Amino acid sequence: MWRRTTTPLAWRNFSHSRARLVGSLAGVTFAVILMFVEMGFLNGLYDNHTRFVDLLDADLLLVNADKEAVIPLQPFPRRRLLQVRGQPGVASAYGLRAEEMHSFLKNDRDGSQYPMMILGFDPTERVFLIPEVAAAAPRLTVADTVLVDSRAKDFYGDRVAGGEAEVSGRRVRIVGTFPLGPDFRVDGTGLVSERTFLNLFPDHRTGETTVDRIEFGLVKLVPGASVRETRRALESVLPEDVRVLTKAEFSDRIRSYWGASKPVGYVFGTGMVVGFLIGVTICYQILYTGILDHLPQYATIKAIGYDDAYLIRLVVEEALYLGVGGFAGGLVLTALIYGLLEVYTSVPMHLTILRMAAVFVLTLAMCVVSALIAVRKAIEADPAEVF
Amino acid sequence: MPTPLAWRNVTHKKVRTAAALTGVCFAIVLMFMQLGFYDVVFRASIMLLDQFAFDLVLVSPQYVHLRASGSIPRARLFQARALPGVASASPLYVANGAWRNAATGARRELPMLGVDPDEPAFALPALVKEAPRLHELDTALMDVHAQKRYGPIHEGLVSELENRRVKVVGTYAYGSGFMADASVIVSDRTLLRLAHDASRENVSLGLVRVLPGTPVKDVMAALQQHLPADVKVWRRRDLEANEQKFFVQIKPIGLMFFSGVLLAFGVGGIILYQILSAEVTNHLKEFATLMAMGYKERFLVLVVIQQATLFALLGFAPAVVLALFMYLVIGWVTQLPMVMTVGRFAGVLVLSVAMCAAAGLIASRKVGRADPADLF
Repeated sequence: MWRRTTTPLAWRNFSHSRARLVGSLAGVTFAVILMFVEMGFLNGLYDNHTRFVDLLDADLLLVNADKEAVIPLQPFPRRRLLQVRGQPGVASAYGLRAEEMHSFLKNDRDGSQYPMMILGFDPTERVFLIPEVAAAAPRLTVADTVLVDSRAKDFYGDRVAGGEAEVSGRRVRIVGTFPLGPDFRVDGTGLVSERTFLNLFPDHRTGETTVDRIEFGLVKLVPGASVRETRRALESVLPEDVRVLTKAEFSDRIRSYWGASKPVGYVFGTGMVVGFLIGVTICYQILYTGILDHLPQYATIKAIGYDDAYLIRLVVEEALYLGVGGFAGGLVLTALIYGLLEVYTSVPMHLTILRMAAVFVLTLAMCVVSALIAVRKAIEADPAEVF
Repeated sequence: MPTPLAWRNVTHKKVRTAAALTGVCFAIVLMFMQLGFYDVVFRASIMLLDQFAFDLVLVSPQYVHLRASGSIPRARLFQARALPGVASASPLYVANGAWRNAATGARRELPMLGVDPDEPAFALPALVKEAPRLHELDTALMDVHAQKRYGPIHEGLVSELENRRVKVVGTYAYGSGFMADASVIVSDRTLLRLAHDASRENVSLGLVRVLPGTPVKDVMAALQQHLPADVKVWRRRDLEANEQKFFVQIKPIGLMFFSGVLLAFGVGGIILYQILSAEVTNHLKEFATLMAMGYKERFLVLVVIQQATLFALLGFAPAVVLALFMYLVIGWVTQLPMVMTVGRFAGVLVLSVAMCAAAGLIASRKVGRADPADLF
C-alpha cells in the first residue's frame, strides 16, 4: 500500500524551502514541548508521591484499610504485625511509625520551626532501600538522634551531621543525612529510632505512648515464597481493619488519591489537550499553505493520472516528516526544560521511554489528523482551473 | 486609503483564515487557562480563612500556616478586647481530626476549626445563621463540598469525629481549597473534647474585629504596643499573603503552575509568530505587486500590523468564550474558584494584540524583501 515512488516527492516538498521548514518545525516543536511539560508535571506529581513507597524494603505492605496515601496518616494496631510474623512464607515483618501534624523541626540557624514528617523504625533492621540510610542507621541507636533529608526545603536550616535541632520541643542531634526530597504535602522528612520516636511523641490523651500504633508494616518473604500465596495466607489471618498490598498496589492507591482529590490531574490533562489542539492547527496551517503553494503541481499530478489515494499518501507522508522532525527537536528541548523544572519545583521530571513513546504517538496523530483535513484542498485541485 | 486592505486580507481566503484564527484562539486559551490555574493557587490557599470575619489577627511568632499555627495565650485576647477600637477578639482553635465516612465507615483526616459560638467570628451568612446551633456539645457545621470524599453530609447526620459521636447541625457550601480536602467547624468546647492535645489556654489564632469607623492601622499599632512579644499582630491581608506565599513560592504546586504560565506565554508567542509569518508569506505576491505599483514599504508594514491586530482580536473573542466555558467545567469538577477577572481579561487582550503586532512586525521584514521581479 505504502509503495515508494521513484521520486521522494513528499520529502522534496517537505525540505524544499529551508526558511519555511525551520518555521514549520518550530511550530510543531513547541506543541510537542507543551505536551511533554504538561505530561511531565502530571507524572511528576505521581512520581513524587510514590517515590517514598519505592524506597521501602518490603515485598508486601501492611496498611490501615482506610489508608489512601503516605500522608494522611492512618495508623493501625501493632499487634497485626505480630499476627503476621510466623505465617508461612514470611521472613520478617517490621513496623514503621510516622508523625506529621505534631512534628516540627526547629532549626538552630534562625529559631524558626516548620512541620516535618518524622518516621520511626528499628535502626538495626533494613527498612529503607536508601544506601545513605543503611550506612547511617546504626548511629540512630543512640537516643534522641535524627537523620534528616538533605533535599528538604531550605527553611529547615543547616542539615549536617553533628548539628543540633529541636523536634517538637526536644533537643535532638543530627547524625547524618539522606536524599529524599519534598512532595506536595511533606516539605521534609526526618528518620529516628523507635525509641526516639516514642520519646518525641507521647500520646497525651491516654497518658501512654503511641507504642501500639504503627503506620506501615513491612513484610519480607523468605526466598522462593510466592507473593500471591503469602498474601492470601496473611489476609486469612488478619481482620478487616488492615489490608495487605504490594508496593505497586499501594502506589496505585496513592495515584488515585492525588489524581482525584487535588485539581492537578485535571489541570495538566487540560494542558495536554490544548497542546494537542494547538499542534493540530499549526500542522494544518503548515500543510494547507504548502498545498496552496504547490496547487499547480498537485493539479499536474492529478492530470497525469494519479488518484486521490496517492495525494493523501503524499500529504500524510509530508505530515509524518513534520511530526518526526518536530518531535526530535521537542525532545531535545524538553530534556533541557525538564532539568530546569526539576531544580526549580523539586518535582521529579523523568523522561521515560514509555512517556516519550506516548508523546511521539500523540505527535504523529496530531500531524496525520491535520494532514487528512488539509489534503481536501489538494483533492479539489482541478487541473483545468489551475492553468 | 479607501480599500481596507488588512481586512480584505483577513477575509479573503475563509478556510485559511479560519485555520490561522483557530491557532491564535488556542494560544490565547492556553494563556487564559494557565493564568486561571495560577490564580487558583492564590484563591485556594485562603479559602479556609474566607469563612471568618476579622480585620486583624493575633498569631504566634512560630506561625507557619493555618495548619501549623503554633499557639498564643488566651489571655492576649482579653487584653486585646480592653483596647479602644477593638470590637471583638475571638479565639480560633485549629486541630487535626479524623472524620468517619457515614456511608463506608472509612476515616479521613480534616482540620477541625473551633470557635466560640457567641463570638461574631463568621463571615459566610450561612455560618452566621447556624453558629448558635453549636452551643449544644458534640455538634458540627460541615461544608457540603466535602461529600465527594467524606461521605454524605447533611443536617441531622450523626457520624464520628476523632472517634466521638458528632451531629451535623448545619451545612454550608464554600470549599476548603488547597489547605485541606475539607474542614469541620465545631464550638471551642467541643473541639477541646475532641482534640487530645488542645488546651483552652492555647489559642491557635486570635481574630480581631475593629469598630466601624476606626482606622485598622491605629488599632494594629495599639495592639502591637500593648501586647507582649509572644504574639504578632497581622492585618488580614498579611495573613492571606503569608498563606499564599507558602503555596505559591514554597509548595511545588505554585511553582509548577507558575512554570505553566511562563510556558503558555512562551509557546503562545511563538505560535502567534508562526501563524502570522505564514500569513505574510502567503500574501507575498500581492505585497510585491503593491510595491511594484509604487506603495512604500512603510505602508505595507502598517497593513501587516493591522492584519495582525485583526487576527488577535478575532482570535480573542472565541478564546474568551472557550476559556470561560473551561473555567466553568474545571471549577465545577475540582470545586475550586476558577474565575475570570477584569484584570486578566484586559491583560491577556492587550498582550495578545501586542504579541500579534510584534510577530507581524518581525514577519513584515519579508515584505520589504518582496521583489516584484523575483515573483513573476
